[in-house]
Amino acid sequence: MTLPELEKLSNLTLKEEVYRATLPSGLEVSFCPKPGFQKRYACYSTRFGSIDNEFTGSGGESLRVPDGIAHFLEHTLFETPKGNASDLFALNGASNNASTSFTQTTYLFAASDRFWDNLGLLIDFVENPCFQDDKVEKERGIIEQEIKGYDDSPGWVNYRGLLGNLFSEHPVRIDIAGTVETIAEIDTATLQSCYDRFYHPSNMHLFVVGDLDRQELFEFVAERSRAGETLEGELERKYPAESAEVFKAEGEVEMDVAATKFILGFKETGIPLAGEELVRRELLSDLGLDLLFGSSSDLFRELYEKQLVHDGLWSGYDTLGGVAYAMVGGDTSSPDEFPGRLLDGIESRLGEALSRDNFERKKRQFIGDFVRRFSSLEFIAHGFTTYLFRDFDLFSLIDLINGLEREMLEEHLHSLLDPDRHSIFKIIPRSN
Amino acid sequence: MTENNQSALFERFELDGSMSLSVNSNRKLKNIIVKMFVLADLDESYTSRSLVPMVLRRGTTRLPDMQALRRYRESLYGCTLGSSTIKVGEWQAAVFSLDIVNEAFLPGAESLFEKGLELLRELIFDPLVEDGAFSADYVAREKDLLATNIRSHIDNKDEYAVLRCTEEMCAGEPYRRHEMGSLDEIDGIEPGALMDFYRDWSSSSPLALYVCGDVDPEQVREMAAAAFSFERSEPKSLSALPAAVEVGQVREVREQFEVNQAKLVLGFRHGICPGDDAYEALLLLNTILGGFSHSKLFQNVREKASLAYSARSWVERTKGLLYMSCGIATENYEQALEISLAQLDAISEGEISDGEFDASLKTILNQNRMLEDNFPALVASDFIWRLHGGELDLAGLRERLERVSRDEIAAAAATIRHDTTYFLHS
Repeated sequence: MTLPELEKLSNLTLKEEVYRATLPSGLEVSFCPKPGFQKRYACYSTRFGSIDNEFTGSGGESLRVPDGIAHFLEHTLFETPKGNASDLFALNGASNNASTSFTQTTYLFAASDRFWDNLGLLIDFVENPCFQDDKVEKERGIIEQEIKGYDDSPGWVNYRGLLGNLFSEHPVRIDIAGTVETIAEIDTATLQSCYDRFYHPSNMHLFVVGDLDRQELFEFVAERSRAGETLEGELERKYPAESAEVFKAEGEVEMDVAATKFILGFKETGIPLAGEELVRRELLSDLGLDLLFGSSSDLFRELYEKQLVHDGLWSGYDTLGGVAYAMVGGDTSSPDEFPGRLLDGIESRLGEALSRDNFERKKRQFIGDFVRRFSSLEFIAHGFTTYLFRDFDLFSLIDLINGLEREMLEEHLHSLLDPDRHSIFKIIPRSN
Repeated sequence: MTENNQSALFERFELDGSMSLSVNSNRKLKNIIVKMFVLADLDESYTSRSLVPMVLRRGTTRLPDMQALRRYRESLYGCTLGSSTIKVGEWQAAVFSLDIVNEAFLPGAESLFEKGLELLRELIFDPLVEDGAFSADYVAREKDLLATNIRSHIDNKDEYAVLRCTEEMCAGEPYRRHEMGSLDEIDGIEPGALMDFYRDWSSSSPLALYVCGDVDPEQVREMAAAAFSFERSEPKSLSALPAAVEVGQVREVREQFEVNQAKLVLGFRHGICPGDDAYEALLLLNTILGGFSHSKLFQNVREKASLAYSARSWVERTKGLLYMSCGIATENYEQALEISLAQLDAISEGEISDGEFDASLKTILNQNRMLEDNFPALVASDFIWRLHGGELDLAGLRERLERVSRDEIAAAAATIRHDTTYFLHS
């Protein structure tokens, strides 16, 4: 059979290569050879996550689907006419899993042998849905328990609380799994309409990494995967207009925790959906947050010495569906004093945090972290997929890090950490 | 196994000062992973022993505070340096780890590994000393943090339920002790006494150093010998493996919390250790029972009865315990308990379908092979095997697993005794 020409990406520093091709169906397939590894790892992903709840259906119609449906669909896809897909993987000895995020659903397996049987199984069960009323009912009970488990997790409740505070309309404020009430509305018809649109080959990516022959791999996938029907019109996702202002400045919940947990968050709107600019923004944010709040910063040192923070501060930045948020969190025994000190610290310590020495050392750390992660097949597969969904190639990240300038960072942080766009959410120890 | 095993996972060296060195040289890693285990009994000093690594991470003579340490790590391309305390049966080990980029992948970087190894040495053996003791400030802060960490067990109800089940099941045995220590003991620890404790611990505990990466074992031996060459006392001998404990009537413990989901944890005793005849049968038994999603617990508690999102079992292989757990609605307690116990009974009666047997054997063989690529897990597993007088031999383990019969699995299941039922509910 004729295969589309393989595009080769390589990185000389990392001594790694990735081959990729787009099949006639529109499916993108990538492969990273890893000679000597026992493990072979594949992940099949679609650009469909919890924030995609309003879109144009496969017939061009406008659809609004229940919250939590991407995650529900992930669960129900495992039911195949030949049995549960996890059981079928187990019969081949493979370990498998799946996950749903705000923007992506991924199905994966890891195996040391019977690789082709497992890859065939992965492709078959993801591409051939079989939604049945009784299976949907059964899954509803399981997902209800999953949601209740999350509701008892202080870290998760804190994070969800913050996003609900920052955003008033955008679906990032909705829990990825939905709620017991919203998943009650899900049925086989709504699942099928989401499937038809988001699981089209042109919206998906298959990444394989391990000790395999690349010709054999691309031939196998081209042969096994489906052609994909013709869809009417382009897939359009609709996100409601989101104000630049935060929805609520503060919030708290009582739970069984030993010390108050808090997250300080900042909101951004009008963010690009993909491209190098987006990736640079993410890098600058991560670098800047680490410089300001990481354990090498003067601000952290001050907060730690004044016993305002227990151990470390963690920070993170995420972009999705045209919005973004930065977070810094930790445990404190001075919940009233702490947020103010943290906000003051951002103002007074930003300049010194971004000194040339600090900036260059932190860049060096980011480069080292990036190289170290290439020991992990999982990082390679998920990293490439996530960046590919943002029209960016993971190998280029190292050049992007090297090209970062201090001035860019300063400008970006002043806009990101705008005191007028912050919110705080706390989990406080139960008062009884 | 022959003396000169070509497929041996680690090259072994004995260094001065009762330190063993195990090196796995491979072309897979872009980083070099180093772990140092400092081993002791899980005796009444367990709280001090857990506090020491926390105080050590605060500063060394050369890098006296966390900021200096972190900045130095950043300059070494962000190497990570960690310290933690683990419990292996009735032993307690401090684990110090270093993860550093192999300089072959960083044009211009020099002697990174050597500097990393030296940093690890400083962390463990060259702490900041003030007036002959640990910094009073550091000790006070880390005592606070340790107390908070212990109180925070309750934040994670899954882990908390397992911890409580263990405390109840092993009340009166050293294994009841949590590796992090006890809240009651923290207050009494003083910087001077902690320094005396540290000096004794660091000079007389057996040490095991592991290095994995694209390295030359002989060169690693030289570097490790240079970095860790100092006078140490005769190593303390450790207590023997825990003796078997008789199981009487099943203990039942219930505790109430404001939770959305109840946690059921069942504790069992089996007493089977690595190297025992029934060890491989035990591993297969757990795979059939609750190690994976094809296992009986997942299939019956979750898939058939729709009672839980997670339902699983796991094995503790040094003390000889097995646990089952699931997260359920409070009112489903009786049903979940009955279904869970019935799964183990079924195995002991030989009710293992061809599908279950086949899937479990393939799954465990697959896991075994993939372990070759997972270096932190490989090191942890070898460390435990060495404590049991053997060494990790993945190929040998596979051969033995393939020979296990259904009868042997049923026989192993029949020796497992239900000791404690713990239920955390609303």
